[in-house]
Amino acid sequence: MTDFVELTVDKFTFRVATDRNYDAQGLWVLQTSGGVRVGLSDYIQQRIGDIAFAEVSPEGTLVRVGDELATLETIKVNLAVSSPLAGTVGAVNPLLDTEPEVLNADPYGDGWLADLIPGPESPAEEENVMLTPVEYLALIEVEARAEVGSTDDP
Amino acid sequence: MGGFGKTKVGLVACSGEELPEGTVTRQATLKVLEELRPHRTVTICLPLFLAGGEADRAFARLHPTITVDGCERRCAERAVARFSGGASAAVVVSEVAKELGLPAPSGLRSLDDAGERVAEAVAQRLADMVDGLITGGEESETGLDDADAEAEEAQAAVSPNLCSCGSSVPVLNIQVGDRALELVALPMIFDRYLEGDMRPSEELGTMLVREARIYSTIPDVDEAELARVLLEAYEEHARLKEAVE
Amino acid sequence: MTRKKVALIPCSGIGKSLGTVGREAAYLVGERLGPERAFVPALAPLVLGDPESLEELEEAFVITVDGCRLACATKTLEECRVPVARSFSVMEAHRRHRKLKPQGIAELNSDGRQLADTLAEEIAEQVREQGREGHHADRSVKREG
Repeated sequence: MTDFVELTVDKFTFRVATDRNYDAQGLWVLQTSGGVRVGLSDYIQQRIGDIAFAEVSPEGTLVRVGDELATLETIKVNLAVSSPLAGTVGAVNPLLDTEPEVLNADPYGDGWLADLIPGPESPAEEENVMLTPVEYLALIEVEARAEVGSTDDP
Repeated sequence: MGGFGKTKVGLVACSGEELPEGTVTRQATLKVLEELRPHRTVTICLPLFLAGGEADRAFARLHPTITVDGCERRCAERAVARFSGGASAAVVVSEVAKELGLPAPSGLRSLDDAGERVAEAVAQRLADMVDGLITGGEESETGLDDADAEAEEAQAAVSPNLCSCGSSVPVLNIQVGDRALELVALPMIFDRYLEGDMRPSEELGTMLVREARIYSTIPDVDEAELARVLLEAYEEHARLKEAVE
Repeated sequence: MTRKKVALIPCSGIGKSLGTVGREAAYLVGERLGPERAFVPALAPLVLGDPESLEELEEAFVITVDGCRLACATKTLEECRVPVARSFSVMEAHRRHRKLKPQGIAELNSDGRQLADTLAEEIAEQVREQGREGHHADRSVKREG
């Protein structure tokens, strides 16, 4: 069972799973038997809102760090998701075609994006710095507090 | 954490569909949220609140909340009373319109001119109430800053523990059997119950366990023992707070 | 066979534009079908157990219109043991009409109004079909996209 650390700002509680690492854009990565599974953090799925459409690069696509891995469309935003590592798309979550809202409902479980098979070692400049759960929690706390605003009313 | 230092006020609109006043509640609430007090208010979605939205219910328990009802049925006010212990203030559109001598609104999908005027008046009333709840009604040149400084000082005196992740979230460290637990936001929850003059009791123990589970992931522990430990911590918190004041 | 009056119950969620789209759609259906055929009761009095509000629904064909996946209107009515005959999701309607980008909560943009209009017509057609077939409200929820 996955453990979490949590942050509450106003009425929003953001959970960070402690069994995986995160990149600065809010993707998590988790080693699995199929490769490296990638998904959205709870913080990101709450920020972008209900996901109406999710399109992931198909199986077999080669990606480098920073290449577009997926696009997500919500009422609020169209989000381009960059790959957190270099490799090949091994599998895409089959639920995303018919139930993209699973990314919102279960971001750390059934709501994963894709499994990546890491490629040959990338040049050093391509390595993406991954954050531990605690580091990521600290990052989102700063962002979340900034986003809910200062207290300077007009 | 909201309510720790600079606080926010929750607004709950009835959005009732049967009367134009329901549309007024919606419009007035959104005006306050988006224009008049954008950084001081949070909207609490009433259907989600009724459906069991724990985050919204917890927010309404821990933060000042204003209900905005269209008519005397006062559905938002009753809902907050039932699920979160009651609102800090309540507005009823029909009463505001009558008080200010404004003509009754009409239009359900879109308000007429009279409806727009009532919505404007209700929005301004709400904004004033938000200000009053945040400053506690005390006039001060520095206004909110004084209240914030006092709140932070009191909090620091009784709850020096901050979350081990490095954030400024107050936590409570307790031992339940052989499990050491770090529980987020408990000091704030204790303060709220102290304000409501809640005495230690089995009922309070149950409520504390439930609230603790909202904010922290608690592994399997004996529930009765957890309640007992939380009640002990609550009494200790009260004792420390009294010593500071 | 007696046609039941239709009760259209939107969630009217205030946090997202889809809540406003659902509310608007429910009103539009009510206008199109007329007060003899349809009405738009508020959700909260029903959930809070107001006897008059619940009595109004006893003989009605209940349709819920939910803004998002949380489906608050459908969920709360089912918990109150109010039979929901049809449940519409604004998010699903949005998926079918991808080109429309609804925005705004207090006031919808033109895409939002158009989505509400389209959804209203879909709902109204369901009601007309129900009337033609002379169906009474069935006790299991039929969920529509």
